[in-house]
Amino acid sequence: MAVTYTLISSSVLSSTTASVTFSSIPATYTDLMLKVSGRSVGNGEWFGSLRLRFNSDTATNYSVRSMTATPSVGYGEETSISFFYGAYAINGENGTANTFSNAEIYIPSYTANQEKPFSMSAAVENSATSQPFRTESASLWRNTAAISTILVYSDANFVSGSSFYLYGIKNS
Amino acid sequence: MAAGATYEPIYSTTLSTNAASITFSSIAASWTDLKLIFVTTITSSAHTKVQLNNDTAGNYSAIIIKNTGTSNSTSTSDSNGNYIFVSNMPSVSVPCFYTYDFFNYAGNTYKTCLSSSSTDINGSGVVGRSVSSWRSTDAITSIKIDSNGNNFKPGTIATLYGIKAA
Repeated sequence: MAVTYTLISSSVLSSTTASVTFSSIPATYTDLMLKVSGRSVGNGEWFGSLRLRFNSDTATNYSVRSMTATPSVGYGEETSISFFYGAYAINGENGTANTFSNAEIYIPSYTANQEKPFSMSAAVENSATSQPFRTESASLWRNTAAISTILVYSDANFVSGSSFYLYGIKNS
Repeated sequence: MAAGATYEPIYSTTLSTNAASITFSSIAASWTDLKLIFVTTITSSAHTKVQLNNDTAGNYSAIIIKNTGTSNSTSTSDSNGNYIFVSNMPSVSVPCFYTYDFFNYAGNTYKTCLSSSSTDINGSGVVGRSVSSWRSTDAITSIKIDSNGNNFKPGTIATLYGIKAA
């Protein structure tokens, strides 16, 4: 029986860290899935922006369309074109201590010779009435290269205990 | 922990030429849930149709939340549709990404599907998420992805995974 869902690499932080990099990602899978449980410190906010950069590409090749649900404002939207992928998907330092977000990024056909669409689903619950939210996003990296490196960072720093798991999924 | 693999590819198709539809048939009842991963470009943008067991009757319902960029995020519903509906209008030039999760697909109750549309097209496009119901107690044995009178372009890839509970 084929093994189609494989852990490629992981990182669980033991100290405050600015970023995590997955490099030398093999081209042997069909899709990639990145799971993040994160909390940020250093931006003075209830939440933080989870950011991705592929293959060290710093050009404005990333676009994102997000919708975010919160108890206070219902749901809103955000659209941007930038030099990184970013969406509100991690807990911030103002939230209840020890609360971490769940975020799942799915990148299909990451080696295909085409621009790369991907999705993200995130929940940021902090056991308080302020600023829990749910984010869904659609994104595009306008580059036809196979993804071999993923830089994960935020608008601040990730705290100890934040975890990052990169899985490869095969269709055969 | 289960003894064997719990996440398996059942079928996968990568188009080398235009195709009006992709059908996965003779789906065995060997798994607990199904997951369809679909990345496509299309010859003319239109809502793609996902139909189960060749059922073209009005047995599908859905509620959708989406952000199209032309207005605030909205929710819509469709109570008697003839296909599983998500905000899925693929681009003619940019690959767009869709997922469909079918739960308890071999059971004898109505079937629920969670679906997602991730079609950012360089700042335009749609992010959509929906829940659908297929009002049939039959096990799902075939899934058809139809381009709605158009063609899916070469490079389109569709993969159906089976997920086992045990």
